[in-house]
Amino acid sequence: MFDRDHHEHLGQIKSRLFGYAYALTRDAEQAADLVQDCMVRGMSSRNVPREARAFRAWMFTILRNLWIDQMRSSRRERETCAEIEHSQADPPATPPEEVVVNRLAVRQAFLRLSKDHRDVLALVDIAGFSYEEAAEILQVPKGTIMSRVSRARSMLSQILGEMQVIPLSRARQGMRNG
Amino acid sequence: MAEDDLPFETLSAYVDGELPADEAARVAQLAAAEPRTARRLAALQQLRAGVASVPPEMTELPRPPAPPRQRGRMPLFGAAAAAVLALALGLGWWTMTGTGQQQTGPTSFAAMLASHDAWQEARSAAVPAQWPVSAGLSPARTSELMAATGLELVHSEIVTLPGGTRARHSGYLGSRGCRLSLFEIPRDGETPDLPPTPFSQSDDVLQASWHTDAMRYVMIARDMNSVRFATIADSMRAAAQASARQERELLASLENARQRCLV
Repeated sequence: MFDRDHHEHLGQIKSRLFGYAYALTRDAEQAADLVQDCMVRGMSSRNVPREARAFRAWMFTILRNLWIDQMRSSRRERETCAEIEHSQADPPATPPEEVVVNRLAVRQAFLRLSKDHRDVLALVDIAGFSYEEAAEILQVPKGTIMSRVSRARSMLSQILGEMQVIPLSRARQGMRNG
Repeated sequence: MAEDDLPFETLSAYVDGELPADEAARVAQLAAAEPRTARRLAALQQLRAGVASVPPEMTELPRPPAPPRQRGRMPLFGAAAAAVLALALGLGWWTMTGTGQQQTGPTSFAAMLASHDAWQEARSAAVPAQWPVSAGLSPARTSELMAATGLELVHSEIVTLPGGTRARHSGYLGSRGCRLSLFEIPRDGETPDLPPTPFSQSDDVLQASWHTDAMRYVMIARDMNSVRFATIADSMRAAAQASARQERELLASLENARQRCLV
């Protein structure tokens, strides 16, 4: 059962829980609902991990499981058909170092990633989990996390390249020529 | 090591600080010697920072009520003290009185649904209801859990179900207008129990029910996401049943704690 320590732990991770929920749902309102449902599920549980690290992983696992339940129920899988499917064999069309990275473009590209790629990148880059912790949550070996993170970033670079994010100077030149 | 020898996966793990120390040192040396490797790492760092900034500002979530102050790490003693205090105040909320059964059949359910609809249509304000029944989840615990899921208690009334059974109807309102009713019906042994219907959905009506030894709970909502409704219902059920178990354990511990007075 939740006690004062758990509430303190929760306060420390709430914004990251929301970030993870947003990465999964791609919608702020749905993310807020997911966090709230996660909180009530956690608070109603009898066996709540006491140690902060275990508590954090436990809450993220609850949130992820709730999201999976929602996905199954609402059959949003169909909607994700439009997502870019990842393939380990396909190298990025544009080398990552040549992609012009800006936050807005990354945000748009991230939301176009497959749910599996968003899932693992959100755990590592947004929630701040180590590979070992992410492996615990996703119940896969640590090496798998390393591969998945790499593939997700590779795909992200590819999407950014396809979005044709070009330097402003080149864009201006194109306008003059056109 | 040539730059082509460095797989993307290695660089990716490097920016995450996940490489073994010796391998990380080699990558750092290469980055210092080869501008292209340094550019690749810089791009990955930017990518990483960009992903970290993806979520918007967190929507303000309802804050659950603050937990009671905990002076020490002796929860059982704390619970026992609370129980004793409650006894002294005549509340006795932890006692599990009555093991009888209560009917919540279609007729009763229709009455509860009508009560839910009446509340929804009337948009009635909070009405404090005097509820003489002491068993079941404490109101504070119920409010805490509901607040955690973004629902605020805005309505409370005592309703009389067919057969004269009284039930407490608590109405909870979400930030986006979602309305959810929770009915608590004491199991007083007057009528036979029915097979439990943990969850049902008919048209736009969602219903979940569960019980403990002392209380039957029925939750009703319309036009609510069914998974969300089920999640809340399951959480409330777990809390109610855990509460009942904890109360039994508490009573057992209090029984065991009885000692003869030293004279």
